[in-house]
Amino acid sequence: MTNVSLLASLPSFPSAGENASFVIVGFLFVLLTLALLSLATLLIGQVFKRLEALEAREKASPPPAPPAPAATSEDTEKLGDHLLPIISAAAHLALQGRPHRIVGIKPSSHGWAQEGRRQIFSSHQVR
Amino acid sequence: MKDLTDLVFQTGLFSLDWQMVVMWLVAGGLLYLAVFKQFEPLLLVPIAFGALLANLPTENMVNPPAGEILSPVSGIVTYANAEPDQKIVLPRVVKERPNTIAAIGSEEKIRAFFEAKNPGLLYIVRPARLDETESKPIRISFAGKTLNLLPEDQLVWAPVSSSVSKVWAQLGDSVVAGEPLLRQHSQHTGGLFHYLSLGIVLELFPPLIFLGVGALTDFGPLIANPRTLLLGAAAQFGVFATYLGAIGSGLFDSSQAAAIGIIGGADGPTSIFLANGLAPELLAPIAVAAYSYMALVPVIQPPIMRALTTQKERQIRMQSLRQVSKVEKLIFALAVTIFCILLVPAASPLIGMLLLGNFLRECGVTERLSKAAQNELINIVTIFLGASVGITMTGDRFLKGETLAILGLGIVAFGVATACGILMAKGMNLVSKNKINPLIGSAGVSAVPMAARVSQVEGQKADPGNFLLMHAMGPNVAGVIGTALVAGYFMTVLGSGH
Repeated sequence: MTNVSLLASLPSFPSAGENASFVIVGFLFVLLTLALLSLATLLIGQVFKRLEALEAREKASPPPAPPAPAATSEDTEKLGDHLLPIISAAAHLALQGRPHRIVGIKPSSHGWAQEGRRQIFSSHQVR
Repeated sequence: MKDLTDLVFQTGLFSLDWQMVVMWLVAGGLLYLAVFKQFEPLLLVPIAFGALLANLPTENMVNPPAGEILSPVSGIVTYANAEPDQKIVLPRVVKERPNTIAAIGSEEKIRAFFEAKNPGLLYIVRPARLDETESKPIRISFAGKTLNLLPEDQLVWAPVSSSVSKVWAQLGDSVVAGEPLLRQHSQHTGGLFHYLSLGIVLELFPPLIFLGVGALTDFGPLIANPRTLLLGAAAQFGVFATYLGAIGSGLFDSSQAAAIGIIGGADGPTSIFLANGLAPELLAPIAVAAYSYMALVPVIQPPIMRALTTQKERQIRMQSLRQVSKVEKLIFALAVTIFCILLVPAASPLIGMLLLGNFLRECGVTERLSKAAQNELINIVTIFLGASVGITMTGDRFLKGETLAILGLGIVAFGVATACGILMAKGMNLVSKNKINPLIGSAGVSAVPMAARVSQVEGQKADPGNFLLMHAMGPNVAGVIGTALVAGYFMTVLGSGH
């Protein structure tokens, strides 16, 4: 506003130089003011975009999986009824609530190396 | 028979003159454009009807109430024509009266002026600190006295027929600006249009219109694409270019030129606001030019838009705008209010009311107030504003070369503003990957939403599947803010005494 105060005494019939100064300062003043406003709006918009992205990500995480249906394979039948809910709950926890359906439950072989590898994999977030 | 003759002389027929009849035609033309061509009818109908009333020998319509008459300047009373109980009778139709000797014109005209009776001339006040050696005095005889007049001498007129109830200033007295010279008394308490016009004089109507405009405006497209604020800013160059044209013509002083230049902002309330502050004598032609050209935006802009863009540029499809949340819109309203008023306090009545209206709209808890601002308030104020502007369009004020110059400069203002918006969009495309269709640059001239619709129509002519309307609303509403800022700048620099 320094320029404005300098020009505050613009006479009724200014010289060509005074007119040019008045116009240039005025136009640049309006341009800069709106450019700053544009920048501020852009920055505020960026903040809101990020917040919206976070919100969208939260919404994108799926709802808890529906209760696992009862398995029907023969092996499953061999297991006692008391094991089914325990295994379903363990699968739900291991899959972190992602949609899944248990189609069969079999006793695993004693492949300890495979089991170790499985545990290593399960320690990572599966995308 | 004598009674009948007296009655005939009491009618308004004998108060008519050719200027009034010509103004009937002007009012008729404006009414035709408004009613049959739909050119801004909401404003042009009240303006035109007000103009018709202004050019009829009305009574008790525009006259102010009698009261104290104040000295316009500090100085010495060089002529006084006021005695207690003196009756002052003005003609039914009061013509515009000069307020300085210089305004009368040449020496011959000054002599002719003082040879006439000039009812209502009460005082002549010579401004203080005036070096009399600079100007050659004109010696004339008036009302049995010899007067030495200087061009800078101020004439003080009785505003209304009345009787003088108290006289304070006598010949030779020193007076200061604003000091009462005499008091008038009259049974009439002032006409309807005197009080309505106070809405303009006191700068009430334009900010109230802005309240309604704010309540009607969705800043979402602007917030979603803030770059368009620059388009609104670029279009303001039309205002400055027109200022240069007006001052260069030699017909107008700097304040008048600034008030004329703002026509390029294509914002009626702002034009009226600034004209009232800087050049009230030009209020009527400026308002008429602003609203007429706003109505002519679909005629004025397209040739300029086509001339400055290629077919390929007109076919640019812009990225879809994101959804803007309510909170973001509220923050924007507050940020613009604080930011703009801090930078240009003189624009605060316009900016403040614009964003108050917008806040009412967006906050979601003041629906009744928002609707009132969008409908009842803006409609009522529009009637009063239009009619009050129209009532200033008396023939002696309007039928001047200056009016034609203002109308000519107004169209230049619109053209330059349109071109600058388009050129700014093209310039931004040179440095930006995310291309802007230059057609939306023309919407930076305000004229909401007409200019945005023109961008849409022109865009669809080049590519029928291209929808530019919402993109063009960004620069369109940015133009409203930009024009208010320019008005604030003019008022700050030219010191309108607010």
